[in-house]
Amino acid sequence: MALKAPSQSSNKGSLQVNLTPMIDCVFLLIIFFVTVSRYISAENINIVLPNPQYSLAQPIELPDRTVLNCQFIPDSEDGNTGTVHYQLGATIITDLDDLQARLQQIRQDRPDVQIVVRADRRLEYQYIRDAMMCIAKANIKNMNIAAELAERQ
Amino acid sequence: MTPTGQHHPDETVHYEAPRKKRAKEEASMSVNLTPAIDITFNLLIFFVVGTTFAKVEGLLPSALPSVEGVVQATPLPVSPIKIRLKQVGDGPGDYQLRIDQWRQPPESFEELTVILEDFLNKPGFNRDTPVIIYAEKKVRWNHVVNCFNAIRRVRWSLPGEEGFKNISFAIGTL
Repeated sequence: MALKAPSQSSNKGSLQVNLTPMIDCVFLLIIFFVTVSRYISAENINIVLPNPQYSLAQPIELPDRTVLNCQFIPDSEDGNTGTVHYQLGATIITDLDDLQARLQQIRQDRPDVQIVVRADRRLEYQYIRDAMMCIAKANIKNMNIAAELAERQ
Repeated sequence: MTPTGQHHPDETVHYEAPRKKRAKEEASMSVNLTPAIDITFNLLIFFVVGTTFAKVEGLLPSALPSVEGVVQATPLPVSPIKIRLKQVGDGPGDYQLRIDQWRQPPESFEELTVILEDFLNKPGFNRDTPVIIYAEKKVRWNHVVNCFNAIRRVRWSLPGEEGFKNISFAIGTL
């Protein structure tokens, strides 16, 4: 097709439709909408979740939930040790008293709330223990631990 | 025949219209790659953007004890199974498991599941027996979740049978 010699009609003034720019535009529009429609929720920040062997984790849709993110902030070169960075919903938590107060407020407003603990697998247990203690003190009934799903065999 | 009506020696034998001749000379033998590259790049971007690299995640549900005010150790009705989880060395991957009153410590979480399945057949233990995870402060969260998952897995695969109902995390010290 590309090698076709110009025909008589094309010499007279082309009636052919050139599709290339149209296809270009269509692809660009598709990419534009795909990119725009994919928004990452503020509470699902990037965290390396625990991956237990033969994980029993289930993809569950909770009716009323609040996510507590525990992010790992490495403080050494090799990345073995680090501290924690809490985030409840979309708000950043500065200290445990703040976390406690916010959890109590949530519990008051929504009695059936469930907390999802999304903690980095590299964190030391003490940081999550402190957070779990705050959740228990706030008298919240249910807590869910986020983990990776089992790999499909 | 030329428009003027004069004969030319060439035209009589192999006549070729001058327009056709011109066309032959102009026909290029090179393939125009530009549109192909355009489309390829577009497809490449489309698939890169369209792929999600995020891993799928799920939840391990658990209920918390209801406490008012300060967390207190609830009195335990029956002798619980205590599982101790320790960090060994500085590396992130090293842990040590131990079950109280049990001579041989399990070497992996898989082994822990097997041992706990045995516990359910022993007299004095049933699925109401509390299982408490005593994890050291320095233990990586991954091991704690792994341990919790291993206890939950007890008798999970057997239809009609259920594992331990009461699994808790110890808050105090070892």
